[in-house]
Amino acid sequence: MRTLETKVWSAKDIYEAWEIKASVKDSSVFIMGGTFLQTKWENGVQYPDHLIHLGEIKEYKQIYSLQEHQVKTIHIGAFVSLAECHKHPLIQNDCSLLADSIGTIAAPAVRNLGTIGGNIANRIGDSIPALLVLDAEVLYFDGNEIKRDSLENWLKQKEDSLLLEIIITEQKASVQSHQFANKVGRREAFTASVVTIAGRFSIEENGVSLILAAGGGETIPRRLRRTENLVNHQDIETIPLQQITGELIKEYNPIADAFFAEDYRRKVAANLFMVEWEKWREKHG
Amino acid sequence: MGNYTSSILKTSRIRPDGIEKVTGKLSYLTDLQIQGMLYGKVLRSQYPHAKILNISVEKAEQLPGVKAVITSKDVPGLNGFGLIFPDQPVFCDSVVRYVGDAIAAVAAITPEIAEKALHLIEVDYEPLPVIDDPEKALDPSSIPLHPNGNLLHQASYVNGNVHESFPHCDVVVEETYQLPRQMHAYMETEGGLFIPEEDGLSVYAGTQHGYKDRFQLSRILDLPETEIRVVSSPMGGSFGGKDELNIQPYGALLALKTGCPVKIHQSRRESVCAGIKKHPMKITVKTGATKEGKLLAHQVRILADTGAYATLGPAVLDFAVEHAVGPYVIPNVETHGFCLFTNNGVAGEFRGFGGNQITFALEGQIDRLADQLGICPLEMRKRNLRKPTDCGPVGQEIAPTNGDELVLKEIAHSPLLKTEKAHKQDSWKKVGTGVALTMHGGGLGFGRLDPAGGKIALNQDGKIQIMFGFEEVGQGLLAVIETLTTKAIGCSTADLEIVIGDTDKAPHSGSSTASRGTSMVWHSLERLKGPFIEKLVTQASAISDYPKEQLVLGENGVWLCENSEEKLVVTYKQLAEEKTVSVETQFDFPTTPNAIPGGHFLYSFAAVAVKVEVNLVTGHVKVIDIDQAVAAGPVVNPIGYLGQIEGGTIMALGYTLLEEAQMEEGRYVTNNFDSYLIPGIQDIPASMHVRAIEDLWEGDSYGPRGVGEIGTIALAPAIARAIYEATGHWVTKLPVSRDEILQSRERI
Amino acid sequence: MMKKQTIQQEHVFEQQLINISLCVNGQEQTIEVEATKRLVDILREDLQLTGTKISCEIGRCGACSVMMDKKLVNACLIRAYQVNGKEIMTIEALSQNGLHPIQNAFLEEGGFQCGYCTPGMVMAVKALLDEHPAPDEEQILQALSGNLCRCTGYSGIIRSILKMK
Ligand SMILES: Cc1cc2nc3c(=O)[nH]c(=O)nc-3n(C[C@H](O)[C@H](O)[C@H](O)COP(=O)(O)OP(=O)(O)OC[C@H]3O[C@@H](n4cnc5c(N)ncnc54)[C@H](O)[C@@H]3O)c2cc1C
Ligand code: FES
Ligand code: FES
Repeated sequence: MRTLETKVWSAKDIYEAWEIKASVKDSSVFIMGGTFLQTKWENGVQYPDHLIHLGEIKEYKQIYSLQEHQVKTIHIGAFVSLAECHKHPLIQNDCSLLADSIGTIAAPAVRNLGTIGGNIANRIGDSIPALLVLDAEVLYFDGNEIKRDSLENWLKQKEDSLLLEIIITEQKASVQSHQFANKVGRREAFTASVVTIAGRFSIEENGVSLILAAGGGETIPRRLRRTENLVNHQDIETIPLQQITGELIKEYNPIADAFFAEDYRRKVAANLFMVEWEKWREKHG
Repeated sequence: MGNYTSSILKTSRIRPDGIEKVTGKLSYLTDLQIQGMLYGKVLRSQYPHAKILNISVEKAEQLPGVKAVITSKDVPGLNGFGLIFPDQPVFCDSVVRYVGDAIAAVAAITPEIAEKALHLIEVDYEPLPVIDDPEKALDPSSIPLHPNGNLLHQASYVNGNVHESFPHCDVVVEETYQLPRQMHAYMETEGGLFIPEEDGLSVYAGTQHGYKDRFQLSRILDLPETEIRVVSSPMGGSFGGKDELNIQPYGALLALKTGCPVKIHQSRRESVCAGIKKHPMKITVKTGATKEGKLLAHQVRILADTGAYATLGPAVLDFAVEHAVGPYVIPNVETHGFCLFTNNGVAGEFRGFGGNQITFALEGQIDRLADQLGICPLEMRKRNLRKPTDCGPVGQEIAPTNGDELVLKEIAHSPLLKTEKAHKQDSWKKVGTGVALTMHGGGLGFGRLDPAGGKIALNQDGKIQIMFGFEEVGQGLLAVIETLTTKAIGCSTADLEIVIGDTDKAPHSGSSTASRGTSMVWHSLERLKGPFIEKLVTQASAISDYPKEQLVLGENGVWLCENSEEKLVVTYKQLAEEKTVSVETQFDFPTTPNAIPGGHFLYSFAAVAVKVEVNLVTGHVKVIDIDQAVAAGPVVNPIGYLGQIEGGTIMALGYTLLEEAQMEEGRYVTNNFDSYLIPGIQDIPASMHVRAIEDLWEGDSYGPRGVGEIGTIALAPAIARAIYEATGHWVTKLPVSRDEILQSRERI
Repeated sequence: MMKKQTIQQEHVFEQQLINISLCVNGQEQTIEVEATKRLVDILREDLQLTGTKISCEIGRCGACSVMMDKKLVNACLIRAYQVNGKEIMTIEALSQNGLHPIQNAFLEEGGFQCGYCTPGMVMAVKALLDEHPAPDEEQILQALSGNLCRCTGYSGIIRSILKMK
């Protein structure tokens, strides 16, 4: 789409961004890289009368780590580009699951423009399942104050807010853990997701533990709690795999499009789960 | 990775257009901009099928910045175009038959204003039932989309009697194959610049046949052809897709109406919506063989969806009917083809020209029969192959050739066929291999006007100008012309000036299609070189007093070549100062003497071996290795030859596994490269090998054949066979459905 | 049943013009443009740099790839309000002092045919080699995954890159 009939505002900081949003009468939207929004507009969604550009905001552009209550937390500014996030040593070393899933988003040039905040805030970004598995939290500004909550809760919110940081708490090292984030697209790379599934198996004191999240395409990613519950605290030898994949197929609720039906997506999600399960079993006897 | 090799010796010079291309300096016709130009935009239909009750353009005309709004009322000549017959309206005014139908066009001072003006044009429609399936179109109760009904064209070939011979067959296989609507997906969308001149109009817009555009535009504009200049080259890809007129009528009409230069450059969305595609086909085949593997009977029904207008639909169908038996001898054949109008996107010329579809069906049948008979697929093919001096596939006389035998023999040595089939790492991946063969006609065929020609001249500057009415679409034609001319004449590349794609400067050469470019350049030079050299050496002999028998053309001028002595006698520049020289030739592409519409005379061949990996978790098929042998006569330009085969192969990979311009009720679902997926760099196999067989049958005087299409044909059936080997499932519908692969596993 | 093509409400929009300064191929440029004009149009129309191509306009093909602050980006996805103070490098800069090695390799190995994807492809290869002077297989495939080529089937492009190793 060539020149738009819309007014562009540039905010110095998050407070000014919020003020602008409150002051303009007509429709408006926050915009960072604009890579997601432009795709929507091209596909027929009407663009708003005002764009509030967040790119000039100096804060929330770093990735750093802190010691919080003796555990390490990794903080990712919402305005950090996907590319930077992908390459950052803290992400590469301590959150490889996130690094891997960012590596499957778009292509390098788009990742240089698109941000991690924009990926999450659009609600269907490919980084979300991995972040859910990592139990990520977010820092956000709701117009009044800056708050911290789990990503899972934030995704459920209906009201507008500005994402500021993604916070990942380093997982307890568990010897027998296995984590995965798989994206199946229509071609090998540079394609929208058909199924994205991420998870983590481990053995805890009270048995097997599973965290599982799935999304893909227009499907809003979420934790698959019922499937998790079937697995959790079970003895690894007696886990009823058939029943679990059956539950996964019921619980995962993908949205179909012109290319792939729900059924296919469910089947693939279940198959991927089985493969990861086998990998884990092989890895840890 | 990066194991992309070939048997071709690399000796190529850098192609003449290379430096400009890699530096971004080359101006494509859609890059042109001049002072005071306007921007054109075309209003396309909102409905795939509707009556137009009213069109009012007043509001659009009143928008500041709009210079013209035109409709059918503004067409001075014929309101229609089409390569075979002009059944496609330039502007519709009473009925629209597909979503790409044009209703009006606007010229404005900015593209944004032009776009806005389109929204201000009011059109009242009365929607009509949509015929979105050729079977529906064939139903006599369906409403006719054109005065002569919905059957655009029917073609048949019958030999022997299939009905009597099926009972004598030991095995009979019957199957229906469905082939998708593929998009050319040239990277440069349609567009160009239209400049009104004192004595007419200059058109700078890509096409594969500038003279044909000039002819069609002259009919529409009611201007003599001599008042229209068409510059049609270079182009950012075409693959058959730009042979038919696209935006030219609108740019031309707007430029003449406003008296200003007008630029049109379609967006990808507009290109998808209005542009032609490959014919979707449904092919039902029944084939029978004896237990020794001898093919006895082959019955074929082809249903082609040609969309709303004719363009080259009839010719594509003829081609498919002709190639129904490929290089095999089958005593009893009955082929009936039907090309039907629907309200889907228009289908027309596409690299492969019906060969891809029919070969998928034919090779699929051979593989199924071989499987049932327990005969090796290669052996099955060998047992039924035509003899070098046999007739062509529709019983016509053709240039003798054993290309099929050679490529088959060559591909049998492919190391990939001997690989381990079990997957090393992953139990959920299955490996399979497959082979397929194809025979492909070059040129337009019997009964079609197929004139070719060229011109060579020594101009005033002492440059040797070689001129063809062909276009450079990316295929490397300039390199072919340079290589062949310097070889035929003896001059150096620095002495040469190549002129193509300009109706004011280059002669008629016919279209840059049907793998005919390379072949026609060679034929032209065979005719031009003798008289041209003769003229120059005669002139040089008169100046220098050396006998002309001792003179040859070389670098920079005419050389004395006597015993061991070699010296420059007179330069081209000196010769030109005396007298300029020019020689022209006109001839027809060689066709079969038998009166079979579209019947070909020259054929090329390819055999492909492929290895795939099927992922049983997702149903995804990954091609991991491709080996192919091509017999198309001598290699003229090694890099160009290899590029055509490799590029064509990957286009075929897309056709097999990814690509479909999907439509729902006459509307495209895939509107851009986010939903219409062509192969990306990660989709290509890690290894590809091309073997070129340059030998021609003894006494063959027809020189190199084109290789623009041959690399796109045989891959699909080879992949289908490989999938069968890996999974036990026969694919009948392209692109291969992953869901189908998964479901087939559940059944086992 | 008759259907009227709906007409968008006519309201006159006053285009918001902004002044931007950017450095393109080493030259400082200050221009007044519409705030939402795309970088690809600024390059091709305002600055006459038509080496940068346009094909999909939604970041899906890479024909418009340029470098912004030394990073590969799609010029069709970037708008004027995002480029103030930025440093842009286009294909035209690459051959300012003779052919770049990437360009030579493309010429020798058949890394292009119609050439329309080529400027973007060459820029993507440049971005790759800037980061990984001796790229491995994975790095090549990643780096070029956003650039489509319909002519070559990519093998010639990969040969070109391997040749430079
Ligand atoms: C060619 C192409 C391919 C793509 N492929 C993929 C893919 O494979 N996988 C994938 O997940 N995505 C893909 N995308 C979508 C997009 O690039 C990513 O989701 C990217 O991360 C979005 O970031 P952005 O900064 O550009 O977001 P924008 O487009 O600027 O914004 C996206 C949404 O988030 C909101 N937003 C942005 N930042 C914030 C914030 N800090 N707080 C609150 N709201 C905010 C915006 O209001 C908007 O609603 C693709 C896009 C393109 C153009
Ligand atoms: S035109 Fe920008 S990516 Fe296609
Ligand atoms: S060379 Fe034509 S698209 Fe790449």
